[in-house]
Parts: sequence; C-alpha cells; structure tokens
Amino acid sequence: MTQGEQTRTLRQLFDTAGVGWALREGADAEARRYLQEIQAVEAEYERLLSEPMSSPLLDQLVEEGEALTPLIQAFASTTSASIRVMIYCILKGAEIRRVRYDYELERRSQLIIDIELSDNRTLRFESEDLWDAEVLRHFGMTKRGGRPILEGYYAFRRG
Amino acid sequence: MMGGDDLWVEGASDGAEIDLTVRWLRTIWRDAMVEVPGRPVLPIRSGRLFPLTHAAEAFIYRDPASFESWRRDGLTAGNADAVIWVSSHEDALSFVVNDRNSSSGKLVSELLENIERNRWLLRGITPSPREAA
Repeated sequence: MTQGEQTRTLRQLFDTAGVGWALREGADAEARRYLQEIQAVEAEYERLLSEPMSSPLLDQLVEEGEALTPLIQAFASTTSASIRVMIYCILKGAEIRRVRYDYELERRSQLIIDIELSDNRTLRFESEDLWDAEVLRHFGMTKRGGRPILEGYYAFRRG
Repeated sequence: MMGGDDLWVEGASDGAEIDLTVRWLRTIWRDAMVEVPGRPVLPIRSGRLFPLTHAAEAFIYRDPASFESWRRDGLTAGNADAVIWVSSHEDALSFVVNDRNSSSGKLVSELLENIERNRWLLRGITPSPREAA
C-alpha cells in the first residue's frame, strides 16, 4: 500500500469510527504519525505477549473495522500504545480481572488493570498518565447477584 | 426448534448488546458453546469468538454436552433449560428461554437489567437501523 493509499484508508477508518476530525484532509504528516502509532501497538503487543499479532494491525482494522471501532477511536485519543494493546485484547475476548485507579488532585493518576487472555495468561497494564484513564469510561458495567462485573470495551456514540 | 418464554428489552438494539450478553454469560457458563449463524460454533472462552458486535443473534449452550444434545436430538426434556437464544431487532433485544422461572430464565432476567443500565454506552457502537436509514 502506498503512502497515499494508507492515508486514504486511515481517513476512511476514522470517518467510519466517528473520529474523522482527527485526520484532516491532506494531512499526510498526521497520517504518517497514526501509522507509526499503529506499528507501535503491534510492537508493544509482541513485547507483552511474546508473539506477533496474527496479521498487521492496519489490515485487521480494515477487515474488522466495525468490530474494532473502539480501538480506532482510541487512536484519536491520546492513550498509550500499551493501553491500546489492552483495548485490543479485551475486544478479542480477554476478561477484565482487576481494575485499580488511584487519583489525587494535582498529584496522582495511577491506573492498574489486569486482564486474562483466553489461554489463561494474565497481563497487567499500568499507567500514570491521566489520558490513559479514559478507558474507564468504556467498560461494560454489570452485576450478578449484586457482585460487580466489568466486561467488554465499547465505543462512544458516533456523531 | 426452541419454544418457551420470550424476554426482552424494548428499544433499538445492536450487536454490542449481544457482545455484552455473551461476555456476561461467560462469567457463569464457563464451558458454554456459542453458535452465531454463519460462523463456527466456538467455546465461550475461545480467543476467536469476540468481538460479537456484528452478530444479529446467538445461541449460547450451557456446555459442550448441551450443544451436542441439541445438535443430535433437538429439544428434549433434559436439555430444554441449557440454551439461551438472543437476537437483536430494530425495536428490542429479545431472548428465548425454556421457562422464565427456570435457571436460564432467571439468568436472563438479571441480564436484562444489566443491558438496560448499559444502553447509554452500548448504543454508541453502531447506528440503529432507524438511524442508519
């Protein structure tokens, strides 16, 4: 795929996910940055899971764009590559096992999330960047027998 | 062929609600099998099952034996309470269970309240058919 094709592909993905504003017409430099961020998520995934993604992430976003809409939206936010890997894993079926968030005015934003993959491996994601705490707004929040269950990761309404 | 009781949440629904439904049931029916038309039947904890935000319906069988029983014999007295059918419609998210007072019926009743409470978020996944038209 040429740079121009990749830019058009990205714009289409962002438009469909309701975040087209994040990639302006003709903004090739922005497109290159997003492509680098997509590659950074691939690299972080391989680092954390000790295996590469099943296929290039850009290809997955194209082929499963609707299903991966929450992840496309995450590229328009300022979440880190590590947190985007977490989003990807949850969308692909990982279970949210534990969430801890510690915030103190002008002092601290500390997020720790443990997830369990389908092969029973547990991964921990930690961040002290406030922007990563944005993910807390996307979890499905449920109860069973009065006990809390966080399940799934869902997109914001598209404008 | 399933019969039994219909349970539903009124209002436009979409695959996100089916996705949340199956994930929620996964916390209880840990060995369930999930059948989505047009896709292979998969264990509920398979790494290839999710996301289900595109599914229009799903059959969730309590365990592999229940799935095999339904596949082989269809509805019997022994497997009637071992499957939940969920489907997404323009005007409702609908469930079919054997009996609303059975164990699966009670599970769905609890699930319905959870779905309603998450609608503010879940309806953000895809436009409803009305909105898309």
